[in-house]
Amino acid sequence: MELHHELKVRFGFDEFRPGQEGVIRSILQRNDTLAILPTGMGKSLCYQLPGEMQDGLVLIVSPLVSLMEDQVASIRRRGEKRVAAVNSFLSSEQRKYIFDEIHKIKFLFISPEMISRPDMTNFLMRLPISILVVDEAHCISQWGFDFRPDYLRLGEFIRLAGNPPILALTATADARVEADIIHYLRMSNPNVIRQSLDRPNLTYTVQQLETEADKTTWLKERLKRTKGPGIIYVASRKRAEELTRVLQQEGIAIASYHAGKEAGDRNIIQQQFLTGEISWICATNAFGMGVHKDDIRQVIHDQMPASAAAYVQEAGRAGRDGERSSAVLLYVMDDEQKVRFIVQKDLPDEPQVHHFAAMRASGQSIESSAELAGISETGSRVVQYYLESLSLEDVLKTFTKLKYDKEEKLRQMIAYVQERTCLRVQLLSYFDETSQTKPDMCCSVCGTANDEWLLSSESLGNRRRLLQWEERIRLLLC
Amino acid sequence: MKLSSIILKIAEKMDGQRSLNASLHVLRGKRSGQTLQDIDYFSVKPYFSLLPKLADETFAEAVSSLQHEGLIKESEGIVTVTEKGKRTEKELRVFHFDGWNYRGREGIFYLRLVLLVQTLSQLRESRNSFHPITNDRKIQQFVKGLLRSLTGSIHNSASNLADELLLAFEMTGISDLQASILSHRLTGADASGWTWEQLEEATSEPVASLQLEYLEALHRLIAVSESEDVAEKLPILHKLAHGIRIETPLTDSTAITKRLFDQGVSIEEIASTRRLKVNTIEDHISEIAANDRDFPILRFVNREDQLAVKMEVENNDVKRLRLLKDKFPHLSYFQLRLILSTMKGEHV
Repeated sequence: MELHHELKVRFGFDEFRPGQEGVIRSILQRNDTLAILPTGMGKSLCYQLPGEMQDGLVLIVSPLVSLMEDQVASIRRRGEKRVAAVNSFLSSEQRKYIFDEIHKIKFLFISPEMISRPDMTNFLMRLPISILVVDEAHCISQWGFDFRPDYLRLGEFIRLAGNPPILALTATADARVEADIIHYLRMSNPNVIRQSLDRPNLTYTVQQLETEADKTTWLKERLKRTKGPGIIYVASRKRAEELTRVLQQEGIAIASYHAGKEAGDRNIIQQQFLTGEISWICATNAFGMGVHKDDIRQVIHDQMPASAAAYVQEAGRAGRDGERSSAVLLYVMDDEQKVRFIVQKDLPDEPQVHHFAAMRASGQSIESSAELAGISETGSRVVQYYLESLSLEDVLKTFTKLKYDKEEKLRQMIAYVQERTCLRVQLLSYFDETSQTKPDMCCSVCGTANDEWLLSSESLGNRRRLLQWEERIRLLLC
Repeated sequence: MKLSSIILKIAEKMDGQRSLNASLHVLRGKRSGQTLQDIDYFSVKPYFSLLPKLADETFAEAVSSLQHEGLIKESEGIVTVTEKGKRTEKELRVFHFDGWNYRGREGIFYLRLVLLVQTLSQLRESRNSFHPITNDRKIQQFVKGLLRSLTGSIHNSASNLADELLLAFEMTGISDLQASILSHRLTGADASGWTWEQLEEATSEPVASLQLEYLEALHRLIAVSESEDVAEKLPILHKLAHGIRIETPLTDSTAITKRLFDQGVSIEEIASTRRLKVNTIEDHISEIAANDRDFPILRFVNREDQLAVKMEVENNDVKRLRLLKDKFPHLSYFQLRLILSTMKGEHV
C-alpha cells in the first residue's frame, strides 16, 4: 500500500507495470537484485522510486552515451533536477563542476570506461552510494549479444566501493548470461526477478521470398496497403538510404535513420516520427534505444539480426501500448551468409591475434597494432582486454569459443526462419520460457498471422509542404 | 550555391600563386603559418574555416568539375584561372560568408535559436514536457538563462521573437530560398523541422547546395543580430548571438607562445620550455604576425632584406615562397613568410 502511495505521489502512476513492484521491494530491503524485464516495461522506475525514497547517491552505469543522455533528459522532464551524467565527452571543466556539486546530485549516470579510471574510482568510492545500478547488464557477458569488456572491470569497483546494493537490469538474459552477471558483479544471494518475454499482442511472421529484389517489392506493397507507425530494420546504412528512396517514390511518408546521419537530422526524424508527421522509419539497429513511442504497429526486419535476443529486443518495440501489433521477418535463402560475415568480422582469427600481440610486444600502439593486424576497432578493444589478463593461448581459446557461440546464436535465427515450429514458442524457448497462452493471432507457422486489421492506406500521401518563410515563422510562434 | 563556385572565387584570388591544396586548407581552416598568411595576403578570410569537415573526395569532385568546364588549370602544382574562368567568376554573385570570425560557431547560434523557438512554441501550447531538440547541456543552460531574462507572458515572448525573426530576415538581405531553409530547419509544437533530404525534395536543390546557402544565411543573420545598433530592435536575437564571434583569433597554443614572445623569449627557448618543435613555434609566430599590425619583424629580418623582398613581390608579382627563396637564398622560408605577412596594408 505504502509503495503504491509513493508511486502515485512521486510519479503520478496508479499501478506498477508487471515485475516492477517486486524489484523495488527487493532493492528497498537492500538485497542484490537482478531484474530481467522486457523492453518498455519501465526499468528505470525500478531505481528511480527507491532512489527517491532513500538517502544517498544512485549511481547508474550505462553503456551508451545517447542512452545516458536520454535517461537524464527524461528524469529532468518529470521535475527531478538532481541528475547528471559523466562520460568521456565531458570536458575536464564540466567534470570538475559535477565533482564540486556532487552533494546536490541524486542520480549520477556514468559510462563503464569512466568508472574504472583510478581518479574516478577514488572519488566515487568515498560517496554514500544507496544503489549501484548496472543498466543493460547483459553487456557484461561474452554470451550476451552486446559484450563490452569495460563492464568486466565493474566487479573491482564494487569491491572498492564497499559492496553497495546492486541492481542489475536487462531486457534479455538466458541462463548463461544470468550466471555471468551474478558472477562478475559479485552479487551475493541475489533476488532474480524475471518477467516473461512473451508479448501476446504481437503477431510474428516469417515471410520467405525468392530474391533480394522481392524484398523491396514486398515492402513497397506492404507499406502502401497497411498502416504505421512502423519501423523497418535493415542491415546497412546503404540499404537504409536506398530503400527509403524507393519507398518515398511510392508516396510513403518515411525517413531513414542511422549513425552516419547528421545529429540535427537524427533529432528531427525522431521528432517527426513521435508526432506522426512521418509514419515510417527505415533504420539500422542504431535506432530504438531511448525512443519512447508506444503505438508502433509494425516492426519489419529486412534482414535477420545476429541473435534471437536482438530480434526479441527490436521486434519488441512494437505494441508497447498493449494493442495488437505485427512483427515480420523477411527471409531469402542464404541470408545467413551475409549476417555471418557481419557478425564474425569483429572477431579476429588466430593469425590476427598473433600478429596483434607481436606488434604490441614490439611497442606499437593499440591502434596501429590493430590496423597492421587487420582487426576492427571493436575487435581490438576485446583483444586488448583479454591480453591484459590471459595468456596468449587462453585468449585464442576464448576467441574460438566466442566464434562458436556467435555461430550458435545465429543458428537460432536460422531455425526461426526455417523450422516449422510456432515462432512464439521458439523465441521463448531460447530464454528457457514456455508459452503460457496461445493468442488468436499467433504466428505465420501456426497459420494465424492474419494481417487484415492492418489494412489502411494512411501512410500514403506526403502531407508536408514547404511554406512561405513568413508563414512558417508565424506557424511556429504565433 | 555550389562548392565549385566558392573554390573558383578563392582560386581567382590566388591565381597563379598557390596550389589547390592551399584552397582546401583555407576552407578547412588549417592553422598553419602558411595558410594564415595566405588568407590575409590574398584576402580570402571570409572563406577561412568555412567547412572544417570538408572531405577530400567532395573537394576533388568540385575541382574536377571546374577543370572539366575549363575554368581552372593546374600545372606543376599551381592553379591558374582561365579567361573563361575569370568571366565566370565575375558573373557569380557576391558571397557574404564570414568564416574568419565565426569558424563553425554559427552552429551554436543556430542550436540556441532552434531550442528557444521549440521551447516557446511548446510552452505557448501549454506543453511543459517535451523532447528537447538538442541534449547539449551548455545550449540548454544558455536558453534557460535567456528565457528567465524575458519579461512578459510566454505568448508575448513568442510573438516578439517571431517579429524579430521577420525583421532580421529582411535586414540581412538573404534570399527567399535562404529564409525558407532557415525557417524550416526550426522546429516547434506539431511542426517538426525538415531534414536536409526533405528540403532537397521540396526545393529540387541538392543538399550540398542548400547547406552552403544555409551557412551564408546564418553568417548574415548573426552579423545583423550581434551588431550593437540593433540591441533594442532585436533584443532576443542580440542575446542569442552573444559570444559567437571569435574574440581572439589566435589558437590557445599560439596565445601561450605570444605571451612568452612578448616577454622577449627567443623561439628556441620557447620551443624548449614548451617542449614543442621549433617549426611549430615558427608557425605560431607567423600566426601572430598575421594578426598583429605592430609585429616587431625587426627581431627576425633587417630592413634591407624586407625592402628587397617587397620590391621583388610588387614589381614582379611573385608571391610563391619557393620562387622568392630562389631569389633570396640567404633568407629562410620563415623569414620570407614573416615579410609577406607584414606586407598587408602597405600592398594593394
